[in-house]
Amino acid sequence: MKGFVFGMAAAAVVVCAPAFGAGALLTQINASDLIVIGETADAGSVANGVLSLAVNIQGTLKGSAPAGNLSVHFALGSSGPQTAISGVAGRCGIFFLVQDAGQWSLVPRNQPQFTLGDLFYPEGSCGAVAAPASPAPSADGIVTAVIQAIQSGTPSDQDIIALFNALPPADSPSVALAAAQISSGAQRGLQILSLGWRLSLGEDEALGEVSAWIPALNQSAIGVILASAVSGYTGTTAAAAKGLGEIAMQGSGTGFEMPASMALRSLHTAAALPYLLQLLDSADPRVRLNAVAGLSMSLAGVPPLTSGASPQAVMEKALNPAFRKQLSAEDQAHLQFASLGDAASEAALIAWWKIRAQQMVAAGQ
Amino acid sequence: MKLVCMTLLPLALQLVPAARGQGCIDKVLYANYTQRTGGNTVFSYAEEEITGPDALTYWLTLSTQFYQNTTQLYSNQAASSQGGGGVWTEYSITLQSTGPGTFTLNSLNQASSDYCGIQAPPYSDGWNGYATSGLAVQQPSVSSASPPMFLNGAASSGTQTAVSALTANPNGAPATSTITWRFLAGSSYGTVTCVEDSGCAQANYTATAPGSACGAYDVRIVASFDGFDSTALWIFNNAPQSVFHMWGGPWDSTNPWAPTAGWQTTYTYKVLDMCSQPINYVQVNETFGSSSEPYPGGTWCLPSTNQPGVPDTCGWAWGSWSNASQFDQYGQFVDYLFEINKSGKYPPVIASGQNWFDESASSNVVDTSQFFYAGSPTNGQGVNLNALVSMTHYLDHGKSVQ
Repeated sequence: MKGFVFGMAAAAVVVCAPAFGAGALLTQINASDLIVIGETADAGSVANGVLSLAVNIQGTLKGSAPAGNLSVHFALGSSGPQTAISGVAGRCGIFFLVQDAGQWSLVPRNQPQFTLGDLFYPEGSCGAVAAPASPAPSADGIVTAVIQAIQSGTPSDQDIIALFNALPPADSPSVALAAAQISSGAQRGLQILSLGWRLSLGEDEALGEVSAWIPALNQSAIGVILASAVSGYTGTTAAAAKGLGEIAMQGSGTGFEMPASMALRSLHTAAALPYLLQLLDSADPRVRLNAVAGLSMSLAGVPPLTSGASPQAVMEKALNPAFRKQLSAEDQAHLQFASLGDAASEAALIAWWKIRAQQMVAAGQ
Repeated sequence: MKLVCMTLLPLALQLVPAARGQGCIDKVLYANYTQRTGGNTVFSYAEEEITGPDALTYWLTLSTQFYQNTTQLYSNQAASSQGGGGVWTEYSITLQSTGPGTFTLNSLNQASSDYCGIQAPPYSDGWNGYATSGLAVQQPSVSSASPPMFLNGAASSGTQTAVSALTANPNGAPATSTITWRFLAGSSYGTVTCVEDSGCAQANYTATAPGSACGAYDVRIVASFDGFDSTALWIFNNAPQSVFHMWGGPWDSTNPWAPTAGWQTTYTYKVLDMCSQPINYVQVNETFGSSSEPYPGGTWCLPSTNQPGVPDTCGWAWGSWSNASQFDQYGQFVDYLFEINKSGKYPPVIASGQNWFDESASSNVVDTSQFFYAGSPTNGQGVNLNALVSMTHYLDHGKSVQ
């Protein structure tokens, strides 16, 4: 279900949107005419679906801020709250703004799914982030300020998830730096954020740290950070296969077997084979399909799915009759990527793959 | 193959002095060449002529063999009447019939003159009377910039495209060749159109139907150079097929707006293709089916009352995830289920991280079904992801079940 629909802000947001791959934060930075560090000076009011509030500007990161409190607006749409929203006053953070028809509108960080947190990136306490002296910081400098704001307090899980989704490490060198600096003594959410970023950066050793978090993350919203990073992990070393395999072996009930099997399926390396073999016995049919598909890809000689590669383009190399690897008729007949079929078909397929996978493991294929 | 003897062509014949017997100073001229005369044709020609004061006293014979690789396709022996002049043989083959290969023309040029005392080669200057020419012909090919993704009407969506840019690679065919494209199989799965001003060297293939199964290369296309077909390009029309619930559920239904405003439940989804591979980023939209309102009192609004893209007064709006910033680096998007305070509905206060998990009939406020589509930002358009999701709103949380 879509969240609130907004009008004014949305109209100004889609400006110079970077190609897919750049996260929402960079999009937000590029779309903003003015980025300030500030504090909400009142509780705001809602009229005709528009939230209006005053922001006391304490520093400027982009653009030129007018003097005094700035009146800003956000179009909630007809589905938004109809009365003033509590909890708005006295909030400090980084605000992204565009000027439209003479008034300043907030650029949401996660359009169009609006939450209060979308209005700004919160600071732990007012003044925790200082605006750098002139000249105005680059986009990377603004990213750094946002990370500092998040680190300065005890952000909510939603704030941390939003930042992880909006800021892939490839967007800024500040991310890797921050990921390395967040200590084991930091707030739980920040530690998970750090671990998620390290996984996104392809640090094999970070995989080994995931298992320790799994018991605490079951049925926890913030677990999406590690689940996403694990499922999309693209390292191809033996250590990567081992790390992913150990996560998957913790079982279906953890919520992480499926993400880990997605990544193992895409490795297509010999080191992944023993784990795929074991996952043929998973209680989760989606995991069993991933195991069969991963084994099929290895047998078919599909190259590893590296970071940024299109899964479809990689599959093309294995499937296209014009240049696919020549297999025996029996092997070719058992390649399966999309479906396990009915119960009888699946049983026969799984049984065949258990034998074939053992041969592949023995051959280091 | 055509074998024609005709008037000597104005060729750059090689000149070899004939042996000088009894004072004759006549010269043998010969030619031997094989060349591409069109996208679909190879022409091979051999000729022998003698010139000089005593040319009219010679008999000429020209023996030829024409090969494709090591297979002899044709041979001929041509002889002139006494009186000089010339003799020649030509072969013209159609590549679409023979296929590619190395074509070779061998010729043996012989001349004799009783008058000059010359009965057989050898000629002078070390030439033994043999000549050869050859030409390696490759089959044209077709390359594709990327495999297509069927999007049910859209040319592109997100990072996915239904259009594959095709290039016809001549591999030696003359630039003057007329290029045409045609289907060997699967014409019901797509269309091919030439790129303007490219002479059809560039074309666009558009997937107009999903493939019959994962990895089913239903389509085969060739580019023909004057009738000589390229190797076939095999195409699998992949398509978005399902959404996969990656993470999330009826837990941590934290308050999104304020402590008294309502609840929010998040689900993170991936879109998978026909081979159950994740798609990096394709636009997604949703619709809702009919709904019921079992909550006692019936004061909560129903989603079926709204229109696509237009939220009703109860806060229901059909979602559209249509720009890159709504997808994370793994191509995932988040669906928020929420309820907020409105006139006539009052979701209970929920502290962050708290969820009552009350799914009793008395707390069930709305039952509906949710449908996802990929490849379009417009609600209800694109590829139906076959994802009938049962969605229920309870007093304190939402729940989607695939």
